[in-house]
Amino acid sequence: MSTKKITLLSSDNELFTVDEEAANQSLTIKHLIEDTEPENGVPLPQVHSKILAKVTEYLIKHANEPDNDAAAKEELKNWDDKFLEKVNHETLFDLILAANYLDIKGLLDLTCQTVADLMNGMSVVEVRKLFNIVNDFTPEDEAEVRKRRKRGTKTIGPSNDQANQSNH
Amino acid sequence: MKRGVDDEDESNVIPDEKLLKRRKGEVEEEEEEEEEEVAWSGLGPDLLYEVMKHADARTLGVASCVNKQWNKTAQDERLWEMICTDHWVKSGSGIQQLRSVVLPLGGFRRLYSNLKTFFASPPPPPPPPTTTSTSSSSSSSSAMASVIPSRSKAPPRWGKDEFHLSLSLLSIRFYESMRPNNNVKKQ
Repeated sequence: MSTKKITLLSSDNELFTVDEEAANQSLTIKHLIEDTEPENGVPLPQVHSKILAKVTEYLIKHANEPDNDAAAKEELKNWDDKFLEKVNHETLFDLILAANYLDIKGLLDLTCQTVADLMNGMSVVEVRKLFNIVNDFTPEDEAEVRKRRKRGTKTIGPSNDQANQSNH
Repeated sequence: MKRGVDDEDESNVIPDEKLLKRRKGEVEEEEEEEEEEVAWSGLGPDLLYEVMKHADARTLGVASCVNKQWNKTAQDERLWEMICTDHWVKSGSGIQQLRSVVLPLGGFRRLYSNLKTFFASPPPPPPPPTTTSTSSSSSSSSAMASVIPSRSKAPPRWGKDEFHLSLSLLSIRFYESMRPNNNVKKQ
């Protein structure tokens, strides 16, 4: 069984070659191949080689996803965890954009999960700091949203939220 | 009183941490700022929503206080539905969960009676081609039963929405029944 090779062209003109099966996990690439049948590689002007290298690594690993093999699934999950372990925030951010643009659901879920995990256990101020976000609430608005949030967490269940934050 | 103290803590502790870090030395500070320069705000509402899909309830609560955009995104009803259904699935079988809600509130019989009383008139069946529509309700139903024998056995078709509404009614009635004293006093 011979597999067709697909060449991907990054924004800085670097070429990446992967099996068609791996490439087709990206619906954007799949459609580009179907629609335009590019001869000199699929042009991906929005993705830099640094990010595309990471993306192809993911695509190759996930090309043959195990269906029922629990051990193989576990191995893949461990691989996913390691895949983003040493990635800095900038790369993580670019990977989310790339996964979204290339329409790779698995990678988008994985990267978004990693970002959500980053926020885990953080206070509002810490989240703002982590994501470099300017607080654009008026003091009144902020008091209101915080009040609403407290009411919300109280009805959902006991929360150690405040205790976690105050004992530093 | 305790609540007031907690409020203060959240806003006070963080600046203190900042001060500590500044004292630790500027090199460390610079490294951190390098990380911070990522323009996360460039994610846009759609991708922010994607991230929030993976957040737990607490994180979602925190996210709603970050800024206006985050607040708007974190209010999305779909996110909270996902959190609830996730809990539902994780904490064992769906049926058992439903039991634990329905039984204390009056039980499945009451739930079923809610279903029955409120949706007694079944959704209009596809108009039978032969029977006349001007006859009274009792005679028409018996006529229908004779025309479509399977219909008399099967209960009226209730969709998800009807079922959910009945659950709500069940809990409302339970709350009403919890406050009999109020009614007695008024009378």
